[in-house]
Amino acid sequence: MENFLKIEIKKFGDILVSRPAGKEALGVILAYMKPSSDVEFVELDFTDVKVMAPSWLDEVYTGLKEHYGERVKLLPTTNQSVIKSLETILAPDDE
Amino acid sequence: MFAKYFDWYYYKNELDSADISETRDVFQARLDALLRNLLRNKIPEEDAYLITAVIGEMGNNCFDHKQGIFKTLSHVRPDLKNHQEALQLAFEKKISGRFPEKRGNGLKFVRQVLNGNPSRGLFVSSGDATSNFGGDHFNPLESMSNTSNGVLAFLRWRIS
Repeated sequence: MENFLKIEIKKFGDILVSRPAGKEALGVILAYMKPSSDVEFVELDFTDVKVMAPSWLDEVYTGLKEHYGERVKLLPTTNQSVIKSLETILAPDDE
Repeated sequence: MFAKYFDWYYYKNELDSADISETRDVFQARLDALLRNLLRNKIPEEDAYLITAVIGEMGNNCFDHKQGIFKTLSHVRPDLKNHQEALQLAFEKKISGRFPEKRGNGLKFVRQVLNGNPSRGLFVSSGDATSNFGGDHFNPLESMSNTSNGVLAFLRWRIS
């Protein structure tokens, strides 16, 4: 059976826009919300987040991917600011 | 309503400190107030959240770079010819002003939220260049020369 560590993004606020704030959140997650094993998945839960901008999300998501790789998963959301931010940071580089 | 901001931008007139976000913290506090105001005025949640995200991303860019669009991008693209080219590059390409850091998403996000929607538009003036993004095209500087220091941005978002 697969294990999941769910990270509730709303714990960091409901308006998440800046890089410094994202960097701080990443530091907290890496220090205090560690998966219990090296096979446990890390799920990002965006429930009750109101405003997301790509700068904040890039710091957290890209930072977590660098540590946990494919074990980082995104839970579905209907919030358009989260969806558009994800689309932006996952888009291929232009150069 | 916007006259005093034009005067500040063009003629360097004084502006009340209450109209300026001097630090990122002040800007963040204003962003919180903006969202509360939008929701209090019955703006649909999805629009209110996206408007706040767009303004939050653009505002934070000012604090991330502090140099304006042309100067920031000139560091990574020394071949940039002018303000117009810099403006297009900033909003249309995934490029960072802080190479080799893999960044530079924010303004592309802004464009993606606005594009294809006739009720959303952004006018940006930077140096001697202007540009429109989104489906609603307008130019609040029509009768003025387009040369000034810094960046002026107007977001227009109509609720149907």
